[in-house]
Amino acid sequence: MNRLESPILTSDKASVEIGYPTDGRVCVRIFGVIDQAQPGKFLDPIVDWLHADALAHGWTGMDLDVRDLSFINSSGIKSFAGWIKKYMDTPAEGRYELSFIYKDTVTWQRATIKAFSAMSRGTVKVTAA
Amino acid sequence: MSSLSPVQILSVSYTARWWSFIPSVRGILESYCGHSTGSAEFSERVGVTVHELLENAVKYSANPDGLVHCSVDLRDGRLAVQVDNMARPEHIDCLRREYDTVSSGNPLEVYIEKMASDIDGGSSQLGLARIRYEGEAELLLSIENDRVKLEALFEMPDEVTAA
Repeated sequence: MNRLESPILTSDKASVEIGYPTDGRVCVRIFGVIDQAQPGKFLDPIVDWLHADALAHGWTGMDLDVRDLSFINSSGIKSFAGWIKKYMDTPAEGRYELSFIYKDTVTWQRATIKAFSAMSRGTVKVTAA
Repeated sequence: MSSLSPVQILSVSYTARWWSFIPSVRGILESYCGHSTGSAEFSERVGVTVHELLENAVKYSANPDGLVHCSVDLRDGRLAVQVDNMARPEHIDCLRREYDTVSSGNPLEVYIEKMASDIDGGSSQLGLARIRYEGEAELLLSIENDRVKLEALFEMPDEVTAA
């Protein structure tokens, strides 16, 4: 099956790296700073692509590593929240497991990742590392 | 034990065109609070708050050449971050509604509800909720004619108040 064409993975201050280990899980590392006026222009195509690609290829899980994302504004958080909504609206059968890896010592990560978990009623996994 | 210095800590004005100024102000204030209180967590809460307040002021400023003013004071043992700007009537009405919603509920529940709601006109509508929840700040809104002022109040960290 052909890969879906990837969107642009680098903005002026933030980047996304994607790794495909052999265990069926996708590792997505997002790093830098997201404080642009409209971060959705960068993030939303990536979110849509990752979600569609995971479903199309039957990935068992997707780990979003935000430990090196030092700051994100609320508009950027909205993009991730949109992903969680999209994920929750996907039938559980055949759906990949979505998880966040964060640093408990970074205030925005500790607070917002906890809120993501609550928003998803525990469906989205979160790990402090 | 370190302590904060004078009553007025920061006062800055810039035009709403300068989005790039926002991270600079956040950085200055985070650095000051971090060094003054010794609390990285407190400095990050203050930093995210001033960032969100300034983003709102710039986004909803009535005129891109209008001034956005930010001041930070130490008042009655609390840190006060104030941002004011001129705004259009429709934005003022929206702000009033958002403020009432955010101020009345449980901060985490309001934050989750805002995250789950649809985006309205490209705006996340998350900023004020984030200030209450993640910033752990009390929010105060005052409006005079077409000038809007939002103030976030922080209790000082225990390490400072115990000094």
